[in-house]
Amino acid sequence: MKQTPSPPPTGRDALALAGGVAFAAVLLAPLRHYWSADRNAKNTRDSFPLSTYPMFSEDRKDRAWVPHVVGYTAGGERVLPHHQHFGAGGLNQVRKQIARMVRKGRAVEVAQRYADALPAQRDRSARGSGPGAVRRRKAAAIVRVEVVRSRFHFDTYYAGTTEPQTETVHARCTVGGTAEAVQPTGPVSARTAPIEELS
Amino acid sequence: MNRPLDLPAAEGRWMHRALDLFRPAAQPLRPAVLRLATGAFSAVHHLRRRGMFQKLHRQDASQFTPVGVVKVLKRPLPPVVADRLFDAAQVVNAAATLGIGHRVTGPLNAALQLWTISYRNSWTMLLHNDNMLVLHQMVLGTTRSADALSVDSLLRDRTLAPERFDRAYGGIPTAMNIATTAVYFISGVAKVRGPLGLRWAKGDVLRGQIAIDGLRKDLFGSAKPEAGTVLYQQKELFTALAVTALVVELGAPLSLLHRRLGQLFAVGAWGMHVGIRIVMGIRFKYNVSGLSYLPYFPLGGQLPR
Repeated sequence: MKQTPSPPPTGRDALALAGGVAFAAVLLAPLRHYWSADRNAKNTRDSFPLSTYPMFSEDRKDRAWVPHVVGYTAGGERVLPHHQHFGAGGLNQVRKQIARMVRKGRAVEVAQRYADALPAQRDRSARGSGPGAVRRRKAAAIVRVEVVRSRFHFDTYYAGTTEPQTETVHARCTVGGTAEAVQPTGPVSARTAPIEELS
Repeated sequence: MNRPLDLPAAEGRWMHRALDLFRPAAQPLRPAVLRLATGAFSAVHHLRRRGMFQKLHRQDASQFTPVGVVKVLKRPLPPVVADRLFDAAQVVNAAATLGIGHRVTGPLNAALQLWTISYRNSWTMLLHNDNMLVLHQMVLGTTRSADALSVDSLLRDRTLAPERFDRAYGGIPTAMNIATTAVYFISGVAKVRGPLGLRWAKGDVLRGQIAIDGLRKDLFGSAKPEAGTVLYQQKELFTALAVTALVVELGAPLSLLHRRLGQLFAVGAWGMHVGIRIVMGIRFKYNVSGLSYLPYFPLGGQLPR
């Protein structure tokens, strides 16, 4: 097909170019939150699909407090249960929901949900030696869960010392039992508490 | 509207040049390939997650934090309604991808994708890995992306590849790339508008982010990638990684100004996402697939200036 030169601009083209500029302006509108007096606007005003994309922008320094759930076996071994025992949506969704519930004083509900979900793990046999099977066997051995808020120092953690520096317990529940709140008396050094503490 | 504009010579030349850059006279094949690729990816991506969406729809109402268009709701939809809307979105996506009645299915698909993924993000956690896919589908659904390689083109023109040139076709990849560059540019601004400013380029924040991400994976029963643990010990590398990230993100708008620059940006951005996948285990599936950058490699010819 013989190619003619590209056509000269028309009114429709001018309208389309203006539309493109308007489209870009709408997509870039979330940038205004980075010049807001509210320094947390990038998080509180994040939306979809027009987002502030605040990922990787937080200066975490070299440590973090993380609310999460810890399981204990009858022998007192500390096991970290999979986030799927709490709910769907993936790790980050579960993590945020748990953090929100602990902040709002609902740690008991978190403990109860994990404790209710774990018996199903026992019913599912975990054969094999892969990491998933090993994790499922460990989860099946959990007899008690605690909702905690733990402090970690990154350099120490990545050097191999994976126990938290300090930890505060907010709620606990035996598997098959009823969860109870724990009044935080202050952070304690991480430890593996024997099951006898609850009897 | 279709008559040539009566512009002074210099302005006319500039506008003609701008049009040939941003809205070249291309064939309908160009946006059609993008429609097929994006629609097919969406179909596979969402169908794989159907079970997860159904579980999400059944969460406790206390976790409901509506965002975007979902803010019209005061409380979550009945789970069955949410499930049916999700399923409808997949059926309409299939029709729009195949180019069946695209004048209706295209905009309908754009609306349903926007709704279902906004609803997915309305449960306490806002994720950022579906934004580009939804924005691309909205562009493709509301433009003439089904004039080729479609049931519509077979019925209307008796061919899958009509041989005509129109600026409407050439503008579609540009619109998709505008969405792409906006995502990266805002991400870059987010980094340098923090307390550290340009000192973000030193790499300490990036190192901390990789550290917390790996830590969280361990604490929530997942497994942190081994590459992240090894990389964490290489403090010096983080400056190079951080500078590269800022160049790619803050330089993204330049990708619209020249085809080769755009392709270089596409390769750089894709590489960044592959790196994120390896080091942090975070999957930006649409980006790692490469399909999100397809508009930077336009198919078919265009009329010369």
